[in-house]
Amino acid sequence: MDMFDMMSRRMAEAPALATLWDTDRKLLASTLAFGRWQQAQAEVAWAMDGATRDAQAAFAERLKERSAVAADAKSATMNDALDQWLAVLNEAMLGTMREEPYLAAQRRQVETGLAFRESLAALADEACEWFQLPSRTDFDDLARSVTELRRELRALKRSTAPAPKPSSTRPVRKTREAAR
Amino acid sequence: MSAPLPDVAALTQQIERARQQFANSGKLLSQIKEDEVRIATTPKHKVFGIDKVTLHRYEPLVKTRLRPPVLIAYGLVGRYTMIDLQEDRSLVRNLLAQGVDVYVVDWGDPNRADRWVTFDDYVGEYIDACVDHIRAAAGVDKINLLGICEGGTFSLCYAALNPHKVKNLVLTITPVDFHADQDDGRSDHGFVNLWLRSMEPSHVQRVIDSFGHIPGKLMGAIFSNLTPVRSMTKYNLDMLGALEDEDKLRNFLRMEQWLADRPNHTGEAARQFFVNLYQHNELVKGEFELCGRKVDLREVKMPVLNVYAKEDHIVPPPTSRALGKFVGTKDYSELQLPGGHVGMFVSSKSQGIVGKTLVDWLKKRQ
Repeated sequence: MDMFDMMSRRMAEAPALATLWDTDRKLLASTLAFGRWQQAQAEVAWAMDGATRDAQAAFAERLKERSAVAADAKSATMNDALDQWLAVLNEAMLGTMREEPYLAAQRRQVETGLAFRESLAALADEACEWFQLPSRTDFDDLARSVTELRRELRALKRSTAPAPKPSSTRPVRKTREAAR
Repeated sequence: MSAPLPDVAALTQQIERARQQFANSGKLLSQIKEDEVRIATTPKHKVFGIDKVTLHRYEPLVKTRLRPPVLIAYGLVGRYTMIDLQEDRSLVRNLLAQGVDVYVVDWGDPNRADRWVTFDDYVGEYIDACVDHIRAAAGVDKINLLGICEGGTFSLCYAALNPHKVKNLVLTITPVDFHADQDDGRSDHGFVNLWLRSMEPSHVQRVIDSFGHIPGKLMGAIFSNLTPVRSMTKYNLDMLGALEDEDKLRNFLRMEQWLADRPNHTGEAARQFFVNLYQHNELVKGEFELCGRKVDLREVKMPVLNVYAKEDHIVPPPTSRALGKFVGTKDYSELQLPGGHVGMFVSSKSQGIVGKTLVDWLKKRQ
């Protein structure tokens, strides 16, 4: 870790001061979060590279075995070889994708990706405040209220709808079309 | 079977052939217009709407011979247009041609504003409202309900909570026991189940908090990762293969159109689907709660037809077939189809089997 990294981390992770460097801290936290996400993505890619390397070794071994048979060598086509390589690669990749090291790398990728998005959201909320705009948090609250109100309205409509006649087989719910 | 690399002369010849194929196919590709690969063309009209949800009724192709009507509910992980991809590969046309009165529910295009719409809303409000509309329009007490994938899980929960409104229940490629993928023994199946179990519930919650929903594009990327090699070869080798034949190419492009139109999954409903069901497997434990009630699968006493795909890597067969152990009906049948998750709807072979089996099965239970 170089000096700049160390200072950035210290600034982003040190106890917050009430009125000083708040935005700077958020910016730095976001930069660090981006770095962690990139690293986690590289770990996932590295796990899949490992699968490719395993597949290459397995494929080379198979080629060596088969090239000893002259009849097979003559009848082989580029498509045969390609199909075989893809089958070997597929097997290796699917195997890797089930193993704990890959799953752990995938979890870190999700975790750090989310942390980065959350750091951006914190900055966006702050920007909304500067420019006097409603933030995503405000919007989510509003959307929640609307959804809950719709539910309550539907429940109210149902409770006030006339009861069905005992002999009727028709349902009680009024469709929007019928209600118009 | 293994094979060695070819000799250099043969290799050169094959490369030249591939180059020519590329050149010819580029011409073919440039001649096809988007209008020529339209999907979901079977005529239908809107009969009912609630929030962003629309209920469509398809225009009959022949005189209706089978009652009550069939309501098709697709999931939110993809669009219902899959059931009507093209004229000769359309579940909808297949059913209409055999005299079935077909309705389909379209969930619309959820966005951040729909973050708080829940599984309860889909089952207890939207499907219920659509079912009631059809019952009223057709003058029947009960309808036939056909659920697909997550729509199958919706339909199953609906049937368990409202058995008095469902005459027959048909489920296709429907996950029921979300941990039964571990019984599959296939290395290429069940990654959605495995990966979701590997995550913390808080990860799912934070994705929803961050996006306000599960973006369709994110789900598309996850699906691509389930088949890494196939995804790598899709736009080169596979497409080259499709370019040899105009019909194949059109099918390929129609599928691309469907894939590109993947809607977002509403936030809260996604949390329930991925945490309560995929992670905690509450449905088969009898712990899943909707609309203030536990979903008790023993209440599913109507006839059930469970259709699954043998090569389904997204909903592995054991996760669907587990249904037979949990439902209360004595009239339970299964139909295994060749092919994968989507193959059931796009393969002409499967199409014929599904349509005919489904109609025969419904006729016996009319």
